Amino acid sequence: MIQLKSLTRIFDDKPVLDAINLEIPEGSFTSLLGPSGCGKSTLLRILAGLDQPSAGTLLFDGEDVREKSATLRNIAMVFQSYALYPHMTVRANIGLPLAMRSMSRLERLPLVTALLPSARRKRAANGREVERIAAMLGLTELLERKPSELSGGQKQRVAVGRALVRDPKAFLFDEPLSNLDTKLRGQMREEISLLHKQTGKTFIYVTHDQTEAMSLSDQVAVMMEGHILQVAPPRILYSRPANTKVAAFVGEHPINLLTVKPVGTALQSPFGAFVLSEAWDGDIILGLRPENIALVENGPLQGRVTRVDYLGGHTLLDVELSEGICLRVADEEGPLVPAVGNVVQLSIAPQKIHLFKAESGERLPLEVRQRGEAV
Amino acid sequence: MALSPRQLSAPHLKEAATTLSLAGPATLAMLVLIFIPSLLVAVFSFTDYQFGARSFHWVGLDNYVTLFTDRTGRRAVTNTLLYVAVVMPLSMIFSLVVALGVQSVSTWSPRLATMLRTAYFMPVAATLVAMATVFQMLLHPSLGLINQLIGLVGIPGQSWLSDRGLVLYTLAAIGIWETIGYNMVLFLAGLTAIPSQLYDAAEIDGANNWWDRFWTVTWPMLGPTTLFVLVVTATRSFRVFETVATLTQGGPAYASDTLVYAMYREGFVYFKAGYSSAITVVFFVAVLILTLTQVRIVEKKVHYR
Amino acid sequence: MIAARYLSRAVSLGLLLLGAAIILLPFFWMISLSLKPADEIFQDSIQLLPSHFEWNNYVVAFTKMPLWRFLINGIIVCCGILILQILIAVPCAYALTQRDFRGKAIVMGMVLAGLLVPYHVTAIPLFLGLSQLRLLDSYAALILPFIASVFGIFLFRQFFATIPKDLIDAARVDGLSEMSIVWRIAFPLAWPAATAFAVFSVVAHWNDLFWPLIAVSSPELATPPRGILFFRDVEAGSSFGPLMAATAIVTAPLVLVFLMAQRAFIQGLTMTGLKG
Ligand SMILES: Nc1ncnc2c1ncn2[C@@H]1O[C@H](COP(=O)(O)OP(=O)(O)OP(=O)(O)O)[C@@H](O)[C@H]1O
Ligand SMILES: [Mg+2]
Repeated sequence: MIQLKSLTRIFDDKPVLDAINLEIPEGSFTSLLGPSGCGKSTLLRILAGLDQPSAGTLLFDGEDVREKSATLRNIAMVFQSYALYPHMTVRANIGLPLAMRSMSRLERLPLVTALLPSARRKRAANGREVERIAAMLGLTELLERKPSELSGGQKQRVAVGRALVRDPKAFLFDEPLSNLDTKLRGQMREEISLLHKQTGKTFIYVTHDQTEAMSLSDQVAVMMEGHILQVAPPRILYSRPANTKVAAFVGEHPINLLTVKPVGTALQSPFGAFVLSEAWDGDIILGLRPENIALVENGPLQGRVTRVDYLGGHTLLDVELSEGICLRVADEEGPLVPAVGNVVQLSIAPQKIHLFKAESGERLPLEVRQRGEAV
Repeated sequence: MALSPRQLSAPHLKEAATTLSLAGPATLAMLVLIFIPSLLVAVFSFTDYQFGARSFHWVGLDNYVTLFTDRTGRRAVTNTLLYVAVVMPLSMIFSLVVALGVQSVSTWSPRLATMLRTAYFMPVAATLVAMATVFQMLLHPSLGLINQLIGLVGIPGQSWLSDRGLVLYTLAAIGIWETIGYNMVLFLAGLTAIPSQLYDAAEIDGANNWWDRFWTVTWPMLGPTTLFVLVVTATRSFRVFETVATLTQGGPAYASDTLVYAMYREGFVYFKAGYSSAITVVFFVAVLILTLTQVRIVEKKVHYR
Repeated sequence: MIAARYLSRAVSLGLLLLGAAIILLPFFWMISLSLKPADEIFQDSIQLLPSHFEWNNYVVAFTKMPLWRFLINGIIVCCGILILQILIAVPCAYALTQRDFRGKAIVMGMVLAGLLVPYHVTAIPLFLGLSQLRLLDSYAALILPFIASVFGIFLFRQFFATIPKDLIDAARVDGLSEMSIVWRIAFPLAWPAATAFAVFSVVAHWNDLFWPLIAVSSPELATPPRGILFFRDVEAGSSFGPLMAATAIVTAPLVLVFLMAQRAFIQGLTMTGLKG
């Protein structure tokens, strides 16, 4: 188990990581999801021992590892740029971490390796291990090539192989797929997922692509501006976002947000009239995902379509409600084919409405029920 | 700067030790082999220290006064300046002409251009002392090839290396021979960097012969390279030593004495370390001024691009 | 029009060839003299080529003087200097680019300042220091003064600055110590810089006369240029053929390297404009 306790990293008086708390269970697949520049790589580098936190503690299985160098932590890392050694063959690239760990300084000297029986034995064992990993990743044919002679996906695989070969405590991935084309990305995603199942190791995966995070992870930590906003399994992240920022960041299309003021338990909104499970005093932000709004023949809401984006599987519509308020709607290809200017009817499932406190943006743990018809 | 407890913690000490093992040897070597000796030379230059002597006296600026007033000292200074004044412009002009020629040949025969470049660069790769002994043969007053060749066109043979009025120019000619190739390569690099659209533009603007195009495009665009070449050549010429030591040893009658050779002779033949140090300091200051100019030019050149 | 173009080409090519002939004349004459019998070397009339090749001059060059010795000394000194320079400069250049430490600016300042100091300047104190250490007239005296190559640090630093930080970090995660990163990752990647530097260093020290003249007095320690002067002064006037043979042999290694690897060679010498 890896624990981060109020971990802080300050660059030039600016906190890039601000009191991060996070627990990463042994063997889990944890994603760090966040927009560019939010400090994901910084966090990963601190985990790997390449950077030191300015404050806070970092525990591996309860042991404080802040004093341990990258070498001693036995953590493997796959870099966004792959970071393969350009002057070495694939075989040497994969084999290097193994040689550095299993052989002494003396045994690594070129001539000694040939002479010393123990060094020879270790080298042979290392060689077999490299070949086993290469076979596992489908790299056997490429072992004698240099990185410059590989495609992006192959490089990626070599980088993974280099991480895999030395049986590390945990794998860190820093946006490993962002340099690949869409198709390859899907394929590599599956391979990484499979790898996680095969090895059973802790995987920590940094990405700004929520599809990757959602599809791969046991838990996702959403990061923004140096803070962790929510740590949760993908489903919870989507169905119960902890605040408006997470709600806005997670989901294929931007969520509709609207501030309203309840009166007791009664909630009058342009989306309809609802009842809260408990009375709430103060402004509330209603969050409604575009995919939770349905186009229907006969619905409680009505509006004029102002924009239509056909996206293949579904259509994204901007619907202007009578009050001049716009609602984003993701419509599954249905019997109705709306066009700009059409007047359409909408229906909303009240249990899919998210409630947030207006002043803090945090989730409001209340239920919503329908009351009567639209205003 | 006070060390915080964090900076004294084990990993920080280890980091510091690693840095020390990486940068320490070089830093130490630079101090011991470059900076401390440079300071010492300046200190020696104010003494009458002689190699092997047990003591020395402070003599203030005497060594410098001697260098600039004594006939032989002044000879070394003026000879060096004259040598630079001859080699610098001539080497530059010749190498620019050659570079332009090679560049134009390369437009219709790249192979030939490469061969020419090779030929002109040969002296840069050659061992100067060895070539100087060859020059000694070539310049032999009675039986050398040079005098025989000019004899063919009716010019009387010269004592190239023992005529007081001629010897410095002979050495300068060898200096030019030695530096043309190097400068040509620098100019060629400068020429290749000129975008060809500029020539098209100049032609449209009415610069339709080679001469006009040279003055409107080539020369201004080569400006930074030219300055660079000038200073590099000057710095190198200032250090002239090998040919003097091999061919004339400063003679006849100090007619070809130069700063570095005088430094060598006074210090390591006559063991006058103090006086030699003063010569060194003067030489150093001159080279320093040139090199700093060069650094400024290099910076400008970067901005220019 | 076309005729004029060809005429101008012919004229400029002619002039260039003439210039090249003048530049190459000493080389030609060196070879020619080194192959001439003694009685043909100085003649009243111009005789460009030997009447027959007197290979014996080369034999004499190797037997009458310790030419082998000079060449081996040259190799020992150049290799010694180059290896030590690299051993010292490369880790420092790495620390200056890939690590943060206090005093980095000072070390960098020293490197830049060091570029301004011609090696002649330090000769007197170094001579004194070496004589105090009783090291004069030894290989150490020929090698040690040059091991702190600020230019090497400068050149490698520029190269190391282009190595992506990720690559160094990957090596750290892979378990390499900083020293291993320097020699296993950074240095092999800086191969072009290393070649250029090697050319620069070897050319400078193979050809150097100033320091060998000061630092050693015994002929057994003479580097090639120093050796040629020894030979010339001892054999003055009598054996010019062998002397020319010796100069040809001394000049040959670098010229041959130049002819075979022109691009690297020229780059090595011109990249070094800052310190020549
Ligand atoms: N060495 C450094 N010195 C100063 N600031 C830094 C340093 N490294 C990172 N930063 C800053 O820290 C912030 C977070 O950087 P980081 O690389 O962790 O972002 P990231 O989430 O990985 O972004 P991306 O998705 O673009 O990789 C950025 O604003 C960056 O400018
Ligand atoms: Mg990043």
